[in-house]
Amino acid sequence: MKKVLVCCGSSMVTSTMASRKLEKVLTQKGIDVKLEQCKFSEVPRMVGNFKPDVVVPTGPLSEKDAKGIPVVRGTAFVTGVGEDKVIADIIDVLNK
Amino acid sequence: MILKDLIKEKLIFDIFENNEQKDVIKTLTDSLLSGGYVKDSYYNAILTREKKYPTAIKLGNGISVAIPHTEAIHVENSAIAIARIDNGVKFKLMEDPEEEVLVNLIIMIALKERDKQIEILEKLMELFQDQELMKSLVKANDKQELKKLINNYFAI
Repeated sequence: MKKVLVCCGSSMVTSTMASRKLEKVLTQKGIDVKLEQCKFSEVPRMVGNFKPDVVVPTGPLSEKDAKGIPVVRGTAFVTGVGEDKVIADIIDVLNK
Repeated sequence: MILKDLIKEKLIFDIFENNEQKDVIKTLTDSLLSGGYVKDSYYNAILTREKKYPTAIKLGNGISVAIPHTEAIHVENSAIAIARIDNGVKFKLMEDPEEEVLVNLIIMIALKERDKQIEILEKLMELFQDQELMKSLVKANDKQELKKLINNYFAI
């Protein structure tokens, strides 16, 4: 079971968009995945509690908030532009 | 939740004047306020949020869209307000707040219960990825055509 933490500004709009898309794609690819969503400000706490394999923010997230967990920018899930590349990057991280 | 119910004719605008970001946001939030969809606090919440976490996104075809939104506590009833901006208005990018883009379409999302509205978010994402329709919205001849395109899209 792989764990992905999707985060965004404050109202969960774009992180909801991104996690729906990501869950669909990763499940289709046969990856057993659990997703959680939170606000940027909650990332340091969530990284400790949820222990994700990768953090996917929809906007700029300070790397130090992720406490060493790999960060892959997920704005592409909102725009659809460059989505394949981001998915490939996330899968790369999950397979490591 | 029927998607169409979130899109009201009175919340659709075609703006020609050269406006600043805050003027355009005011036009949209005023329409939401007078329709009883949001609280007084919504306007400031949107402005603050836009400064901290900007919402412009670059789509394919060189079109940029902004999707201003904020926490549900500022919302009374869910609705979406839309403005086509003829000359474009500057917004900062979600991906890189250092970069400013000219936005021709603003979709202001006021959601009361996020969990029940995943459908509308998915519909919006599909819209962003429909390059032809996005182009038609940005280039619509007049407000009537704009309304018709929006209504047809969300009517399904």
